[in-house]
Amino acid sequence: MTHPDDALSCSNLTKKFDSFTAVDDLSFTVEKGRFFSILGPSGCGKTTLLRMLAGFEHPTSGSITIKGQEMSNVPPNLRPVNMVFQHLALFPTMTVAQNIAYGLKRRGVNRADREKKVLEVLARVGLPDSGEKAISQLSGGQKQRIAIARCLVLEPEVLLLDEPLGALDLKLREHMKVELKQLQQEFGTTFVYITHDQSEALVMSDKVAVMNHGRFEQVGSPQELYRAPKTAFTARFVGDTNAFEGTVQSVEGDRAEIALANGLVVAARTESTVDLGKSVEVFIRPENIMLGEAAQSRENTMEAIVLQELFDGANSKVLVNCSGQQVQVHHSVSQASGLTPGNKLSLSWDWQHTLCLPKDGAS
Amino acid sequence: MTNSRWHFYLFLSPLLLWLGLLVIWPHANMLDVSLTERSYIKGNSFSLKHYRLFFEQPLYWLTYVRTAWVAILTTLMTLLISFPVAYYIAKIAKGRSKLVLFLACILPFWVSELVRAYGWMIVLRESGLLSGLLLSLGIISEPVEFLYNDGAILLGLVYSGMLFMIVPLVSALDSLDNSYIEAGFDLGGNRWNILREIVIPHAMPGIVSGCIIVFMLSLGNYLIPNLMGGKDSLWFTEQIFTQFITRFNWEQGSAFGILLLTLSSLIVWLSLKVTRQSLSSTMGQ
Ligand SMILES: Nc1ncnc2c1ncn2[C@@H]1O[C@H](COP(=O)(O)OP(=O)(O)OP(=O)(O)O)[C@@H](O)[C@H]1O
Ligand SMILES: [Mg+2]
Repeated sequence: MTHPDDALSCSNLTKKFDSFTAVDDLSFTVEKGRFFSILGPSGCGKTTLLRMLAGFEHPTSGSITIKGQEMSNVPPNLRPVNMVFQHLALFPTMTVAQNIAYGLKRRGVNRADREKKVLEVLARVGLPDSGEKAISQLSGGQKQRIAIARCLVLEPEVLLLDEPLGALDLKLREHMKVELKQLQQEFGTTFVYITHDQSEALVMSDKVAVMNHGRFEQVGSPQELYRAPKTAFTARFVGDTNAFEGTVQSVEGDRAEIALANGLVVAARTESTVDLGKSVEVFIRPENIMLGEAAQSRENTMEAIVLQELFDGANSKVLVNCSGQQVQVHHSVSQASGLTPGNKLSLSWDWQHTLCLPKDGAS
Repeated sequence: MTNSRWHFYLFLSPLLLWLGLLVIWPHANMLDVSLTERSYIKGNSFSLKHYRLFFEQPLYWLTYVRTAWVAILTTLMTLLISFPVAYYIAKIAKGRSKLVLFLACILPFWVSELVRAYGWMIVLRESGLLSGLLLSLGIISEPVEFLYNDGAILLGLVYSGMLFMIVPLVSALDSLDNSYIEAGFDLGGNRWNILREIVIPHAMPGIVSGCIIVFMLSLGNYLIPNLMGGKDSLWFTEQIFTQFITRFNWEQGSAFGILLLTLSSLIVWLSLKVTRQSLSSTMGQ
């Protein structure tokens, strides 16, 4: 099943802690040179999975193959992978250059080559003159780049990253997202990146696996996950969305009519087979809902009362109350008049933009 | 003087009093006494006689060198034994067993040093437990005296120094995040060079502060060399004791005291220089 282009492949990988299953029978492959993200909520087993790839945890069962080589008996220090730790783990007792040279030294690279490679990689991550600095003299973003340089200088087959942006402040995180993606493309190394932040995963990745309770809910490109989530969990986790509960009233091809808990009936698109009378969830993204009278031509409409404007520049939303349920709707700044709390509004949206999925755990 | 300054000195005053009355004043006095020659005829006069005597009498300076040497050896052995123990407590043991192990190290120190020394004597003397055990196992045919030799002194000193080494080592190693060790493995390191390049440099302040304390305590120990090494154990503190108490020669005793202080300060300073640690970084642990 392994393909020569695959940098990494796992089959039936399972990790149990006593009776608790942290990683549950995962099989997946990552193609060479890709940016592969694993996105999931806290405690879903991301770190455990990554630590198995790095060799710090032994799988309870299943196998890991890296570049065609089975890894079960290979200790961490001999695996062709390197890891960027959550808190980076740059050695504070060494200078930047010593940190980067550490791995080269372990491989027996001679001094002259070591120095050359350190300078090269420092230049490539954009910090050419920091070799003699102490780790404590670096800023958060610089530490980030050094931690990555320390791994990339070893030219690993796969680079594993465990929420490396978690410790940075928001502004720097936004900046590093772009930078990390550029570094990955420049070096052409396969990245396996774990995060609980959906926007990090969407911005950087070629492919994202959405993980929950030790399993992958869905694997696909960021666009696929956003436009066509296959499970209610993915729909809720990737991007902002409004969720309603209801029961299926009628199905006609991929169009279903659903009676919501608040009494309204909406039309929605469905790809998985949903049966009549089954309880389902309906998802509508805030940007697909139109505000006001102009939108009456669409089939789904609702009356709503403005609760609050959530101003965020171009990403501004308004929070409205539809028969007891809160709904978020995008609005452009020009529309901002008439959003005073208590105002009545009508919402409308297309049935194609409305997604009907079986409830979690009910499939 | 501003108000806050005044407060600063107020809170500092117990420390200043303690330093002044119990440390600086007695030592200044001792230095003064050691440089004095008593004479009923000429009265007291300045003299280096007591220091000269130290260098002229091989017994004195050989004891001095030997004491320093054994104290250094004790320190190194304590470090070698304590490091794996501290590493195990800090990095390998988890939860409850960590606490139990740590307590097990501290517990013997609830007993006075005198009682602990007698405990060792019960084990090591000719008619003691160890000799009896070896005899009954047929390893030796006659009772053997394990006390009253340098090995016994070393054993006693290492034992009493362990706690003071383990505590700073555990705290230094505890503060080393496991991810540094894992990062070392991840980058291709093996156990040995991770120990040498990551663990030891991180623990260095703890190692140095433990070593300083153990060295000082061993050098100035009187009880253990005396009890476990016997009357002729040639420990420098015994020479000081003899001068002060037996001979009533306070001038000579003071000179020895000052020499011992000089020695310990010198060795501590040297070891800080060699390990490139500063006193503030090691004691700030
Ligand atoms: N050594 C261990 N022993 C027992 N249970 C563990 C161990 N390591 C992890 N777990 C459990 O496995 C589950 C997954 O942990 P993991 O660290 O992989 O989560 P994560 O997805 O990385 O979460 P986070 O986003 O918070 O880092 C958690 O419920 C955790 O309690
Ligand atoms: Mg984690």
